[in-house]
Amino acid sequence: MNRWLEYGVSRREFLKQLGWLGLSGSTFFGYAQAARQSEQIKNASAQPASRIVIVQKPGVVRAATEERYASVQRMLDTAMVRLTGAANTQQAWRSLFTSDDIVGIKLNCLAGKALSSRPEVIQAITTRLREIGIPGRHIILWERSNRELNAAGYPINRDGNDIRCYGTDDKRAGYGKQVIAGSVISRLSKIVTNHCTALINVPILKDHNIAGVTASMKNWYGAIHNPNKYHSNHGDPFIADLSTIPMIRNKMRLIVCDALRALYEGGPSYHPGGVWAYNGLLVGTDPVALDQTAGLIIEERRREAGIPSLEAAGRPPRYIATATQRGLGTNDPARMEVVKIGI
Amino acid sequence: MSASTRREFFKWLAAGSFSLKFAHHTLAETSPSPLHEAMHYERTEGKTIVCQLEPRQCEVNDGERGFCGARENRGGTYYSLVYAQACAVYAERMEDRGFYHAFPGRQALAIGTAGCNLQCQYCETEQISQSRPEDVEAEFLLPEQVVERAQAENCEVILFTYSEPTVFFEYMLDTARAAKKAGLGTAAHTAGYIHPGPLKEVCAYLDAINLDLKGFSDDFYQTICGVWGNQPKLEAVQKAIVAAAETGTHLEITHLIVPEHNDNPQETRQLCEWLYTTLGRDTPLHLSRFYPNYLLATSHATPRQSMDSARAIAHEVGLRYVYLQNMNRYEDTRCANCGDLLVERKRAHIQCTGIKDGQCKQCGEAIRGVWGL
Amino acid sequence: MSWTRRDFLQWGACLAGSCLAGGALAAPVYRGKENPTRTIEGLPRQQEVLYTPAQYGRGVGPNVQCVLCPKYCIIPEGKAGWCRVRVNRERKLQSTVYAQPCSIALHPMEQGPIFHAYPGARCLAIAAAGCNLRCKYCQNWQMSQFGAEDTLNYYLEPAEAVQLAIRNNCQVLAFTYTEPVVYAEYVMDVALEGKQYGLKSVLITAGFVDPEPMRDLCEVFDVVRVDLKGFREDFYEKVAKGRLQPVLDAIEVVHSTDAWLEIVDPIVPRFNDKSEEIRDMAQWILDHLGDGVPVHFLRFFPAYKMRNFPRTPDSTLERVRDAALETGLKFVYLGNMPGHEGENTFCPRCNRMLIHRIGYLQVEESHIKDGACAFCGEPIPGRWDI
Ligand code: SF4
Ligand SMILES: [Zn+2]
Ligand SMILES: [Zn+2]
Repeated sequence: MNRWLEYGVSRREFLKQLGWLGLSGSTFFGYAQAARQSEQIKNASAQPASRIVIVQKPGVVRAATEERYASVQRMLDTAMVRLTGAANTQQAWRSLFTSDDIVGIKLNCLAGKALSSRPEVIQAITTRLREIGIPGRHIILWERSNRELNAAGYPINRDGNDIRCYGTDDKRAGYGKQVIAGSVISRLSKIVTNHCTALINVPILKDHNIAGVTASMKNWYGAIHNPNKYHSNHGDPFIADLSTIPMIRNKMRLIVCDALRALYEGGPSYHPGGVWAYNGLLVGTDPVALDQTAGLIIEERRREAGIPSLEAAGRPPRYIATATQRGLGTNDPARMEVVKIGI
Repeated sequence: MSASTRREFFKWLAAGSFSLKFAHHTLAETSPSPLHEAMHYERTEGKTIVCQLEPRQCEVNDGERGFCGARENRGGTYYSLVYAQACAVYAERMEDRGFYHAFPGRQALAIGTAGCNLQCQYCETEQISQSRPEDVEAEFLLPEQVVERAQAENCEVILFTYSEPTVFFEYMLDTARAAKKAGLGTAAHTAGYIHPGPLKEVCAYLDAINLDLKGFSDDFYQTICGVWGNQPKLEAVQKAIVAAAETGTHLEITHLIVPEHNDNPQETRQLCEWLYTTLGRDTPLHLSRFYPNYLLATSHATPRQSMDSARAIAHEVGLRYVYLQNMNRYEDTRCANCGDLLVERKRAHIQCTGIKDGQCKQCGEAIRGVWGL
Repeated sequence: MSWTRRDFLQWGACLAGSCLAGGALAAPVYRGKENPTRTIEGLPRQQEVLYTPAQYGRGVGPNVQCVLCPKYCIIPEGKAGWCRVRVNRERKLQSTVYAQPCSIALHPMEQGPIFHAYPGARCLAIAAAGCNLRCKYCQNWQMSQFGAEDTLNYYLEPAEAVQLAIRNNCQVLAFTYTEPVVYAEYVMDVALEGKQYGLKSVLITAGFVDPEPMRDLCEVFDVVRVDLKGFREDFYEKVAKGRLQPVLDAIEVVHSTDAWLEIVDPIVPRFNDKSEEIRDMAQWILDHLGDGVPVHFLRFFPAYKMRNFPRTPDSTLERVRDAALETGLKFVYLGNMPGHEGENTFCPRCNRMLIHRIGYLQVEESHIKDGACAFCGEPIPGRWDI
């Protein structure tokens, strides 16, 4: 240390230099990764554009705790490998994230402890992120408010080396930059704009009394300060417009939709009568394709339960088609590949 | 620094459940705005409520807010977050806020709070109307204090304007009541997107009201004012206008002309004809010039020709008091019967000389308006 | 030690000067164009900035909106608009340059350049700080691109301005160098005051103004010379940070009033010198204003943020002029090209030279009699008598 100081290099600068070393290291990885990705793209040209992987393991939600955690981990790993076409789990995650990323994981804790993004899923994701070299302090679990996180059982943690967890209303975040989403101006959570470089969206598969379906795109309502301005007309086109915000669109790398227990009626808040154990995860990178798939799952369940379809209930999720028009992805079955895996 | 084990993660999560109660507690304590329960809402199943103040009728879950952002559901009770939270309080002339037949030339204390139940793409006060109460600076001013302030600043009228009085309905109502008690005049400038019931309720305490008729098609209310889907649009505003007229409160209408959106002659004619048949020929109509603001910032201001031709149409239809607003100058009011000068408006000086007891001094024609206290 | 911003700028200027003298780090220092004007010495200086209530403001919520120019600034309390000289103080729109010009000079009418109005008349040229554009080639950026706090100002009430003009034998009051529109209240008051003494008034503007104030200005001014800096939105956006359409609107407004209109277009090579663009512009002028409006194409001199671009070559200017003449405009002039035939006025019918100019000076007697060609009687539009 002293030697550095003699040369007038402060400790901070020293750390910075180390950082640079790290960076150049990762550039190498970056190259390797780019090469891999271009290979993938070559292969992909023959394939449909958007792949959604559904992994199901019957009875997983009722399993004992240890077993449940293990099963969910396995489900996620299977899905990731299938989604990316990588040889193993690590490669799968490396193809989407680098060790330099600061990853914000958007939970959905609206419905309280009963039906929020489950710790099993979060645990499964963060374990793999750490394995590819992302330190705990570079992983941020976030929601709209500390209150919601607390209520869903996620304690607030702002510092230290462990995983961070705080809401946008926390003193270290807040709403910042104004962005235009179609016809509405909103202020975006500083967690999205300033705190992280990559986003993982972990919504819950739910019915929504206004929008019809809430899964990936709808979950970004938690990233803006005025979601109340987005609810008219069953969220169409507002939900789609929200996902066009470049800051969200560009940072979003992965969607892991938690459908272990899902809600087919009475959402978005917890409604015991509408919950069923789907025992699954929906994993993908195309928000539109994922929401389309999610919508079909809910419709199917509603049929089974003998209640009217979303269309008949007066809230078809039209925003999904609008999102396709906005170029956010595709809901065209011909261009989607839905892979169903049972474990 | 190894990855935390599963057990540690558990522990970490468990700790959260303890802090839960505590977190709720502090939140309520540090909450900045004093809560005032909202009027006109109904509880539906659970803790969800439906706001009945205006046609949007937001269904609001616990912890959420209505479209206006100024009313919040906390545990099944709906609260106004802007009660006594005035974020703009200024003494202004009645003319500057769009009233020509009510208290001409008088000073009014104009107040407004954050929030609006519309979202016009050309809003000129978006900093307050499209912001949430916690994001704008506000002065805590109870209704009685507003009255005191008005008296201290020599204002004879209290005027609710700037953003949208509908969303601070409770505050407006109480303040108007207090103002009447103190012998002050009261007026409101609103977009009229409100249910007839509440509107009539407040009209009982208002001397004058200026209602916007922003366009004459549902399409305009959807694309420009942000009323989407199957919520009632033009029809809702028309109902409000009719309701206000029924109460006997003096009524003026403002119509902002936005080039390429509502400046075509047919639309203007329909609008004027509707006004003529529903309100009669003597209701003052203000045709207002549009300036590019907010999200409609790229097109240009309304050209003079459009303004003039709109006025010509209004005159043709038979409306007798039609004024152009936002043209950098005031206009005089002349008797529609004999043409005598009733209110002379110069930049610095506004004089109401031609009216006595609500009649033209010259010919005795009744002139609709509020001419004195 | 509390330093004001002005101190800082002065200090910066000294420093730059000494650097140059020492030959160290020879940072290029702007030399400015040769200014053929004569400045008047010994006028009263104004130290503090005075605030005067301005027109064209309206209260919008807690702020004030200035609707003078198409920027339509919404100005929060204590802040200034885009032009730097219109501020919101106590929720009133106020001007910081009323009666506080920073440059007062004498120059001939032709320097406008204005060729068809009051030839040879002597102008009292008044300019204050401020402009609502950001032209990268501004020749007067020391005044136009600063606010009143940063310039050295005089104090000159309208009445005194008129007396000064009379003392200096001026027949015309001119507002130029910066953008007079942003201090519209002052220029109107001076011009109105001058009218009482028979002085004419000239407004030299970039025309980036809302049509309504433009109409008000035209009612007062005898001559309005407007820049049409290019004929592509793109150019206005990139080089001037303005927009083309409002300028065209303003020009039409001027044309519709009694004020005499001339148009100026500084030609910057590779930016706005394409023959096609010039033809479009000429065609627009022809369609909307007629063929009698004088149009001046000026040579661009490297200045301000475009010092690294070459001055416009003669050939370009000649090509541009030919393009405009071909389209059918009758009076097309070239500026900043002393001795070039493009500076002279020719009769559009008999093609004889009516006024011979070199630089800003008329060198021979004018052959325009009673507003018409002395040889063939063809009417020549303009304001030929004072
Ligand atoms: S004149 Fe100045 S303050 Fe007014 S709109 Fe233009 S730039 Fe803004
Ligand atoms: Zn009369
Ligand atoms: Zn001739």
